[in-house]
Amino acid sequence: MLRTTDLTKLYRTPAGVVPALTGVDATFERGKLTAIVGPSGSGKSTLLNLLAGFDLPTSGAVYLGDTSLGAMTERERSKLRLTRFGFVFQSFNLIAVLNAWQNVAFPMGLAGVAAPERRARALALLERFGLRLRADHVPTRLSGGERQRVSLARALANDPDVVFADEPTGNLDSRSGQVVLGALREVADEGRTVIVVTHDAGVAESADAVLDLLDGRVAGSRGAVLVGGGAA
Amino acid sequence: MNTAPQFTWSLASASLRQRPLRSVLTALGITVAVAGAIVFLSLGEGIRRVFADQLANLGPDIQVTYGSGSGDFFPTTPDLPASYLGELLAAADQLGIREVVPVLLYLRGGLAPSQSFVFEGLPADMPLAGLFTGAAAAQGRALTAEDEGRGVAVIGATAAERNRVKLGATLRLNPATSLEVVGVLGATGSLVDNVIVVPLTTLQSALGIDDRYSLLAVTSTRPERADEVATRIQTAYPELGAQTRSEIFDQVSTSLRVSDFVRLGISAIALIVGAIAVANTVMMSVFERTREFGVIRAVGARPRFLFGLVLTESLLLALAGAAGGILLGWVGVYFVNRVALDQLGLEVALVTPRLAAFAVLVAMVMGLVSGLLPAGRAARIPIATALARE
Repeated sequence: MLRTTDLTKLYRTPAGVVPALTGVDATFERGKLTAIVGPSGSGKSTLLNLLAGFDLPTSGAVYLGDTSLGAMTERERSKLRLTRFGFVFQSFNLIAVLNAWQNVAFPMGLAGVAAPERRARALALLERFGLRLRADHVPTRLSGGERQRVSLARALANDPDVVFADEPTGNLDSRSGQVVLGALREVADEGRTVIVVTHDAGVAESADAVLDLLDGRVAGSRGAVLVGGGAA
Repeated sequence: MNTAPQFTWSLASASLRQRPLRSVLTALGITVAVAGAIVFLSLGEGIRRVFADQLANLGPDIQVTYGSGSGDFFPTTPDLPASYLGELLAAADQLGIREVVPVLLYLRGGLAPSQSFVFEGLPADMPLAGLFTGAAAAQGRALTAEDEGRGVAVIGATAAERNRVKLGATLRLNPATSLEVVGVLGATGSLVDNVIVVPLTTLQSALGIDDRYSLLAVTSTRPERADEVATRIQTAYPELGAQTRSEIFDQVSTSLRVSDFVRLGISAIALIVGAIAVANTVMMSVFERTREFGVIRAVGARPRFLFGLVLTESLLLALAGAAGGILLGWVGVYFVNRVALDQLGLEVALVTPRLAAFAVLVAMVMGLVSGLLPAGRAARIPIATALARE
């Protein structure tokens, strides 16, 4: 379970201090697909960056279980992202010089998994997402939907507890978007926490819980997301 | 959770292959820098070998000159009074001397090295093989006692070939003296290949010097004790310089080491330019791949991984450049030697294993140093900022 307490992030700019996120309390439960929605500039990406440990809050905390991400060293956060988190990005962000199975195997390589096992596990993940025959293709030879499924396979490489998806359907046609959304649903049904930042109303509708942000504050919620405080 | 080095290595090489033209051009910069360093430094190695070979083929153990003679392997100034020949011969038993040969050297310079001649005046009855190991006439004949005072000469193999001098040709020593070539020596690999041997008295009278020599070539009774004989000569005649072959070689080596540093300094400029090119390319690559590095960090790589990845790319470029540099350097040395053989009769440049190893080492240091800054930058990229980069 991932949760935040009074999460606040301020950015210092030449024009002064800009609050990107203010007092967010939320819980993201296992086995649920939670959508974070809100207009541009509402703080969705900032929240995702803090939840994933890409950035540290100005105040408040993010907890995975009982452990605060802010109390960890950078090395521990890297290990956390490697072994317990998985990421899917809007623009896929596959490594251009690696083919599909190598991209999927990449986090395994970072985790020190031996080469033969990496390949076998990567191919199995690609098989799961219907991409076994595209395993040796580099990203530029894959369609947008295929790239996103490779990205999802990579997110699952080290069998994470939490999968973050930042606008996973944003660059896809509706059919590919549905396929990816279905895959994320499967991932949640396996008992993982899936957190999706989205503008897509369809994604929000199919989510188990929704956290609505506006101007860096929680503007509303659906499902068991909020744990109190911070709500507008 | 240690990432295997092969994993980093394969990703780094894949990244370089992704941008082949840039990678090749950068490696080419290192290739040219390393090749330049090899050609420059090979001159020292080659000259060292030339001296070693020529000294090894010298018969006499000790060279006696007037004054200290320190470091003067080839004393052309005829300032040694002839009386010392008699004095050394008279004290030969006491000093441990078996033979003393007076030598008069005359260098007739030209505008180009190929137009320069070295005349070596030796007693005509002196068998050349006693002074230069293996020296014998390949065409014509050697000098004999009857040639003393006559206008004749025997020419070394390289000098003959370089100057297209054939048996029976006439050489002008100076406006008043002409020499008929009565013999052409076979190649020996020693100094004699490059000189024209003239009867001693012929050269003395041609130069108007009849009471001085350039040096006395001394053969000791026990060559393994040459240094003791040299010390005795030095003690008995403090005004003379007596140097064994190894001392001469040491002094030449010391001089070469000084020139090594000069050549290394010149090479360093090319190497620094090459290193800056690598740093620039790798830094550009880091800037362009900011988002990719953000993703790599996002999926769990530690900063150390990115540091190692960028440094490995830099080292791979340097290694490729070094390999190309050694090959190109070899080609350069080949052409330098062709010119040197034509002009000087000597192969002055040599690529030794230690020089090749040094070039690889220098290139790797270049790669390491030029990769440090970009690698540090890659390691410090904030993930959130990198992912936001378009």
